[in-house]
Amino acid sequence: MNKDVSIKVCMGTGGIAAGGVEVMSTFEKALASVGIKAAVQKNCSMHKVGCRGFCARDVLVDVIIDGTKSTYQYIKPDMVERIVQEHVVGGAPIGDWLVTDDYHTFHDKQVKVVLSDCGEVDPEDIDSYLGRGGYEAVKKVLTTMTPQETIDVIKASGLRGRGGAGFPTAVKWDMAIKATGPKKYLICNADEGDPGAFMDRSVVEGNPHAVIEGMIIGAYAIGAPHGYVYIRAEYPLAVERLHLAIKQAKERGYLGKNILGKGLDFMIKVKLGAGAFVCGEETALIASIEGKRGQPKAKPPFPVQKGLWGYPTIINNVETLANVPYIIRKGASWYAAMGTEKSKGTKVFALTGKILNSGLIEVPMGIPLKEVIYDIGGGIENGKKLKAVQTGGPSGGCIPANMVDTTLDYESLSKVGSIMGSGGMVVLDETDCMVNVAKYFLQFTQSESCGKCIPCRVGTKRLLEILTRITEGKGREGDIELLESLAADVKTSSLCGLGQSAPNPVLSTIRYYRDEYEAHIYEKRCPAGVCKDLLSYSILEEFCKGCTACTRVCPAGAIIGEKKKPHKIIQDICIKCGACFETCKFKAIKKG
Amino acid sequence: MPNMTVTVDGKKIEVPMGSTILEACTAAGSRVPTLCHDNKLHPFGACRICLVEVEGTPRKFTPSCTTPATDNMVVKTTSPGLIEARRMVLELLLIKHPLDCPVCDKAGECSLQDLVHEYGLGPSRFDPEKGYLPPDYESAIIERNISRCILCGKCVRICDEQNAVGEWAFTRRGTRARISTDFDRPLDCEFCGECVEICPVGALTTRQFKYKARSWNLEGTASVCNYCGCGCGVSYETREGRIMRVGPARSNYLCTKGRFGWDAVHHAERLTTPKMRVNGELVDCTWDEALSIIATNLKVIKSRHGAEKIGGLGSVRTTNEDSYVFQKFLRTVVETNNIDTLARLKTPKGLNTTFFSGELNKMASHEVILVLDKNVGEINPLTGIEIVRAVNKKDRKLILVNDEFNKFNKIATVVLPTSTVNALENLVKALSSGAGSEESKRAAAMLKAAKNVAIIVPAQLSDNEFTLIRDLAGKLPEVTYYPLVRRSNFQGSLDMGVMPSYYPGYRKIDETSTADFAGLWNAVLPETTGMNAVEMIKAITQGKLAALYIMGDDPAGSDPGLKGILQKLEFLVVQDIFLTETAKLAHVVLPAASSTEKSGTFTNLERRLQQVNKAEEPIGESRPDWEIIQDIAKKMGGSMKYGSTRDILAEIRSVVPAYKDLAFGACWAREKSPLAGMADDLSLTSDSIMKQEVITAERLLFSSGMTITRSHEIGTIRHYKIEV
Repeated sequence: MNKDVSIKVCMGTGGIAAGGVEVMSTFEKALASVGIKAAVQKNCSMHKVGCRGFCARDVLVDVIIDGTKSTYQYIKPDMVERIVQEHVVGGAPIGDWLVTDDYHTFHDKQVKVVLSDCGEVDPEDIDSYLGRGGYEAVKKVLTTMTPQETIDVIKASGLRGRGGAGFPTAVKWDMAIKATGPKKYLICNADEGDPGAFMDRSVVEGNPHAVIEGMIIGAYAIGAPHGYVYIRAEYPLAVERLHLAIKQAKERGYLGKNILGKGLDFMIKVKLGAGAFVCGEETALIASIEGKRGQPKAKPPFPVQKGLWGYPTIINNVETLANVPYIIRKGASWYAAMGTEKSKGTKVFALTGKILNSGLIEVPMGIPLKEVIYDIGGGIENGKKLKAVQTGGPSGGCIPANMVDTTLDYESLSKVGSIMGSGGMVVLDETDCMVNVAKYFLQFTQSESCGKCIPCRVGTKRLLEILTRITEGKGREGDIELLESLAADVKTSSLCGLGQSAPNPVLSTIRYYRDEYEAHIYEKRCPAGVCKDLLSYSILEEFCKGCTACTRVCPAGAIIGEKKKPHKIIQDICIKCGACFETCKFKAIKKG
Repeated sequence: MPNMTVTVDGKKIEVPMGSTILEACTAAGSRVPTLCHDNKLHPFGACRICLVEVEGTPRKFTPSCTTPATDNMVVKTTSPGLIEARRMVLELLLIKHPLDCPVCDKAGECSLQDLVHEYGLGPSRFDPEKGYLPPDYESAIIERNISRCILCGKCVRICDEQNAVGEWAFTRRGTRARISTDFDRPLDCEFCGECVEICPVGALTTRQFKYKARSWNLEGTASVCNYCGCGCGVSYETREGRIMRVGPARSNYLCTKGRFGWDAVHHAERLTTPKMRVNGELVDCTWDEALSIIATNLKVIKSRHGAEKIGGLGSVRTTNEDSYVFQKFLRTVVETNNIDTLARLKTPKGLNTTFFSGELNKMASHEVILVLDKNVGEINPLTGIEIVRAVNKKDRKLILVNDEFNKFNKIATVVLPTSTVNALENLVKALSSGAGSEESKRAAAMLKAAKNVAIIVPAQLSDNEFTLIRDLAGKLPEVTYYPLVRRSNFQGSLDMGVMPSYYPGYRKIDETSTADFAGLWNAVLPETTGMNAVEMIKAITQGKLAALYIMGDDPAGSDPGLKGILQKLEFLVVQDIFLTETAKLAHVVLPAASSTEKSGTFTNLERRLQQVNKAEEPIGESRPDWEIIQDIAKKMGGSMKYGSTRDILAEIRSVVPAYKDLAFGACWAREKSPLAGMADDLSLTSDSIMKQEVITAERLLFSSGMTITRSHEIGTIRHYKIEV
């Protein structure tokens, strides 16, 4: 009875939040207890692994016995004992606790490149990464390729910047190799700030060595001896694992002086950002590293001409860099075979909102949105109808339900008025108010505006102000036109990408849901029933049984009536919390 | 530099490579509005009002101030779309702007006001949001009115980029962003007021000008600042004949003294009438009484003791004309060469023989700047500013000798944290043998590699330091010196021959020169050279000097030890604008007009001839110095008949070769001085006089003399740094 047992516990931020640490320690205890080792008789290893995407089912645990993998979901510490006894020792998986079919459909349409090792390797152990071919790409470029050849491979792969704008990575590197100066810098932008986006965090948490490997290759290609990872301090786990990974890579000779004896010098410093969204903008990011106020500068000069401390600087996003080792290892044509003509490879999305299977997904470019929503995502929660999909975060736009055939690539998304962005994807259903969605994103950009240029500083504030009054039922005639004109001006006049794209959520929702705006302004009605000030609850006398359930839950004491007789809501006292609506078993509360 | 062709609004022009679109537009005569741009600053690109349309670019509008122009670029500065975008920016700014123009000192010269009028903004489409924040009155001199601020950041940038002080900064973000000091504490800076000057709106204003006048009622008089040797051009802005405020004219910068310190001339203690000593007390008298007493006494002393027992101490703050007439009076009427200025005790050895200053505005043409005096920014603020400009705008390298810490440390490439003499020794050693500390070696390597070097020469030099500077310069290919000079017309007083051994124009007194000048002046001249200032003071104690005429200097104020000595004089005349410590000892005190109240010329440390113009009438009965001297000369039988300062300048031009064809605003060339390259030393040394440094509770910048300490505005600055 010789068995090779490996147990992998999801320890991404999601896994830890769901209790991963306790699950892991319980496993360790159970395995260490007398008898287990003897019973198993061979290797039994425990790994923490990074996010494997399906955060909704955490804690996810893999038990691999002689190569046969069984994945458990929703694992709690008290379930560990039984798994060890029945599965690890007994060899029989516990059927009830295993993941269901939809776990597999979630993964079926995904193609994992950047995330291929996330959830498989132990992010805190370089050997785990090395065991899966890690750092092979570094060896390959250092021993067999010139910097120009490295760039040529990236060019042939068609890799474009995953930070949002989709600028071809090889073109950027090409400019850097041509830039002259005593120093050059390569910066990895891990300042992921879009609300609801956690792609970069998951990559750094799940496979930090891939990012480091990508940076080494980039540094070799452009000739930069210094690297920075600019990562937000709100990602403590990612920061910790990154530090650890850099330390391990240095110990193994992948970082530092004379890497692998090939004469390449490269060291990475980690700079923690204080969480300003605008510091994701290249020039503001550089200012922040320099210890200055995180505020964008006018371009030109571009960072590649005059960047960090005045030297040529290349800034690549985490996902872009994490793609690089895989492209080098597997070849440009392998990568270029995925995706569309102009958008190659895969893209990681953070799928959230009113979707059944929320989580982190990686799909080939050009996949129809429909497949992401209904196949991978498993459709809309609670059987509701899809209304729109918001992509690109606060700089992006909405794709309405009737355009769900749109494919996910840079060109198609921009055609429908949205952007790829860094990969946020929020699914909205019929109960979402589009004016409110626009307001939500404007609230974000307005409070993240650095205040340097007037259109963004004052303009976003006014856009928000108008949106707010529309949702409060104080919208005026001409407000839509005013929004459109102001949004257009803010877009054309602002200094940096933040201001230039901040009006996108407004423009895109007006474009597709003008009727909703009109309903708010002219009919003082929120069709989705979201905007509180436009809502009222009333009791339909013919359905009310006088059960008093609503009076008991009403926190404001706004419902009066005698037992067994129809009740009444006093509108002046009602705070429109909707508690009565949720409670009533007889559908006697009318919302609208 | 090669040129490129840019078409602006259909007009083709040539501009140098590297010009921005805005510069091209200006060159083409197309005005593009700006709010956050200033030629003194790096492009910022914040206000978005300078947008233009560029053909063939993907973006609809391009900011002209930050975008470099390219060859064959086609630019449009107006179009309906651009006007719309600019109007939007203005409309957004006005949402929060208090529109308190009727009580705002900036009204009439406010960029926002002007642009709103130009673009004809009507009622706003947005709800106003007048969040009134009370003005900040806590700082000295400068008031901050946040509600009016448009956050262009000019104050932040000028203070950092030009001054290297960095007192202002942006704090907070988005709509809550504002301009602030550290934790909103009161200002603790150089108080130069450059931030007020550059503020496009009324967010920063001065207390001095508050509610004083509307800008359109002011008349400007171009003149020269009378504080330090930089001689910055100023514009005295008057209303009904009284100065209300002062702005920069030529050098595009004023320090706190130049901008705010002029109010000393409005001080209540100004001398308004002549005074004479009666029964030991100084009492008011008439001009005629005062001048007669002086003439009589000088004549009596001359006939009784001889002219060599009379001396004169001139001023380094009066005009060239005053100084010229002063020395001519003593030489031709009193017939003595006992003429000098005490200021020579506080000047670097070698000034005007070895060290001839380069032009300040060419500081940035030097690859490396070596600062040998850490107080450069306090003694000659403009020299300090030009250094910062050279480093920050032109990326010049700065080697700083400073054993303390000040603003220059922040921008220095290498700091040598030691005394001037040690630093010089180390540099000379490192340059010749390559030995020395890491810093010295770095500095030496920079000096060696530089095509040309500017050396800031300290305001005072020991013999050793002097030799070392010459040694150092000998090892470098091209050196321009920038000696520090404390007083406004020190150079002029030397040029005019207010020295015992030189006639005007540095003609050494000897038989030939005496014969020449006797001919030029049609007078009998003393045959021997005179006593210098130090010798004169010594002579008083020995009874060898009986009478002293002091014009515009305060020896007893600078060195209290001189009080007792001056009291031994038989006859002391003091001519000044205040009743100084020295004047209190005088037998006759004469009220002089200040530099704002008279015309003439100054020659600054660059040897630049500058016109001083009268901006207000002399206070009380005060009169220009030269007029007073001329009247005494007349009473003593002299033949001076100058009708105006122009007559005097004409004579100066005929007597001093360097001034012959010297245009206003031009610097005279070092070759014009007979002393250039000679071993003469025009500085004085003394073991006893003016030796002790005055202990002051304030920075040198705010307390460098008796006039500035009488400025009300400068007096409001409270500093507690003790300098010994």
